[in-house]
Amino acid sequence: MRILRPSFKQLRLASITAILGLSAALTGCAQSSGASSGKKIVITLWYWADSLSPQQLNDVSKAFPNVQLKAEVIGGNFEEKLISSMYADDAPDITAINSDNFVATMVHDHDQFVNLLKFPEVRAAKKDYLSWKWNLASTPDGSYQVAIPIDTGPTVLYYNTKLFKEAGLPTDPAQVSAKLKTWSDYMAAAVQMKQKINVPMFDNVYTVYEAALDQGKQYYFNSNLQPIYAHNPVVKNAWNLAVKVHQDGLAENVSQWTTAWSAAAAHDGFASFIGASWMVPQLEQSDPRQGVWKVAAAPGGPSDQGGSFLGVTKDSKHPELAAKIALWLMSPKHQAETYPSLGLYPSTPASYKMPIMNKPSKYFGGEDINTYLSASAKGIKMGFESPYDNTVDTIFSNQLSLVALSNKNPQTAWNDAIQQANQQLARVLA
Amino acid sequence: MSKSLLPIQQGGHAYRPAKKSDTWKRVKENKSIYLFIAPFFILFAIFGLFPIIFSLFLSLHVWDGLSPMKYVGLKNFELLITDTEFWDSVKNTFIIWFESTVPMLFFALIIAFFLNSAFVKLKGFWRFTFFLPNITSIVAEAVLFSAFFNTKFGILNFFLGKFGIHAIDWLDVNGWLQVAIAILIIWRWTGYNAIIYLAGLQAIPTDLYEAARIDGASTVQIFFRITIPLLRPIIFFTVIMSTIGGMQIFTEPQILTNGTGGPGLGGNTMVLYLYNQAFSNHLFGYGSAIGWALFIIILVFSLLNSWVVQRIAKQ
Repeated sequence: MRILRPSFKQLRLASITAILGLSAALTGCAQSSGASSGKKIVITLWYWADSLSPQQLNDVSKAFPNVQLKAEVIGGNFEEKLISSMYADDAPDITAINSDNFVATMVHDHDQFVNLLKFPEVRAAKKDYLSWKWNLASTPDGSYQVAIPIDTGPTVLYYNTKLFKEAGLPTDPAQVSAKLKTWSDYMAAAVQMKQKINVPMFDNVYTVYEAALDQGKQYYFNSNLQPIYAHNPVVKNAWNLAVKVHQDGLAENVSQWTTAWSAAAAHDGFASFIGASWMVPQLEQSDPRQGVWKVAAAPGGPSDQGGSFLGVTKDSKHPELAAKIALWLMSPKHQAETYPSLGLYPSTPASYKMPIMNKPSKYFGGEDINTYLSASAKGIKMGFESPYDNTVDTIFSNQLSLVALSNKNPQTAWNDAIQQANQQLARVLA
Repeated sequence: MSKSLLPIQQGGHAYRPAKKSDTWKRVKENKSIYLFIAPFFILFAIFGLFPIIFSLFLSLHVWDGLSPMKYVGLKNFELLITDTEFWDSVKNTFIIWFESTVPMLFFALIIAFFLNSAFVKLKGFWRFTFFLPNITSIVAEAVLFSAFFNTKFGILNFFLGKFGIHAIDWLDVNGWLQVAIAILIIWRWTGYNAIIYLAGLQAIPTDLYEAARIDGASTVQIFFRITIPLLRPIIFFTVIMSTIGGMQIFTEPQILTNGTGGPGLGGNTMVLYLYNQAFSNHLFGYGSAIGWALFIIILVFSLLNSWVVQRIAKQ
């Protein structure tokens, strides 16, 4: 035994150090933010790639010499990570919030954020932002501001001039905007396109549904969170329009963000689509031909499709400083600068007239597409977006896809959509 | 020397009926050993045991991850029983499991048989090649296969078109989507099972084959009369493993349908449904209830499976 003892002791020592090391490692990774390095105040910021300009994030330390900004690009599952960090009371000082109904969730849980209206700088800056965009991040009574707008997604009509010419339609943006004013104009043009050259006008029925829905002033819920999707004429009209497009064979049935869509765009597979400003890079990557596509005003009126926000969380130890940094990042000048590089369309109308935003685009045949984007952004009238809009929208779009792709009876699909949405809401509100 | 080893033996033996004080005494005597195995149990308690218990607790609540939890009793389970989407997901899972497992194990066996036969050269290369899909990045597979199954521009429909077969809408129509998911599973897991079969084949003594050859048996006869019977335990093992894996199909439908389960929800499997309800819709209570329903379904199915397998084994 004497011989064995020492080695056991050594092993015990080794195992204890190993466990201590492990626990040190576990606690070590928990808290790295908040502590100050040297005399600088550390502010953490979470965003996803291409939602903020890295150059401007670097410049924060020049504008705020006492601040060390730790900007972290969060990869997948941004929302889950943010919610987990909030639940652990360890959220970053500043976080980006995607509009896609997540901002509505955050407004619903607004106590996780600092009310930005507390700060005079924010109250003074409110007038610089598009009011409909600003209101998306405030509680319905407007008393609690969760976040400051980053970009917006004003929609316009993207159209293929080559196909429009062959179909005997105008190709000049002003003329197209004048001729395709309403949805019935647009549908008539689609029928003409089909008869003349047998090319579908639309990429898919869901784009039609979404565009028509977003142009409305009310969507799936009213501001008391009561479901209205079963009776709201906006929803039903958008649905009927999409069904009509399918029945008349006017859509190519390619979903956006797929290789099929890119291939169809590049090979004249469809003639137009209503899309937000952020479809520009998508279109450029899909169809390399220059001067084929152009931009006009969207038939049926302007609407918004997305764009993000910057909020200051309740876990921030320097909320006022964090709010100032967020405001600085989102100043009209900075927003204008990110438009050419990242394609983020500003939420500050003062940016729209700046020369940097109004350069003629080679891709769009020398057109200054900001003419129509800015008109759309300023003309938007927004309805109430609930935290459950996305859930309901997925159900409706799935049923629409079944109509378009599997020839499901439209009436059955509509009834199924309502029934599924009701079922899902029973779970949410249980 | 033998005397000096005695204390360790005393500390290590487990024959005496254990009293509580005894157990602790032995733990104390051997604390270094317990410290050695502690990391696993600590990590398991944090990342395994706690979530299991917590999910049971969660399944009785409504919780979006941020607002205070609301106790609702068995309401989540009540809603689950009448949830058509959930029962559809159970059906989808079984269909995809069947469509993938049967051909997968069949192909794996054939491949392993050829890899084991004398006339195949470059065995190491083939083994590596067949195993490669299993360790390929999922993201790369997602890009590759969505292009492969594409309705209008996909290479699969292009070749089918050469044989006069009309373009199939692989990713949008429920039945075809399930076949597409099964194909992806077969592609990923056939090589893996082939390697397991190969190990089993290599354990079969070669004199049996030689004897059969001398008696004039053909390759097909050898395969069915010698290989299959002697490989039976390995086949049972792969069947059970594929069953457990098949009930938890998630990755393949997730990447092929972009996480949605397809427009008709034909690719909505049980685990994908759980994931979407919990992490896309932020219904953590309902997601936990699905998790426990899944546990019961897998338990019942596994018991049934082992009962069937045991009966066949006895014959």
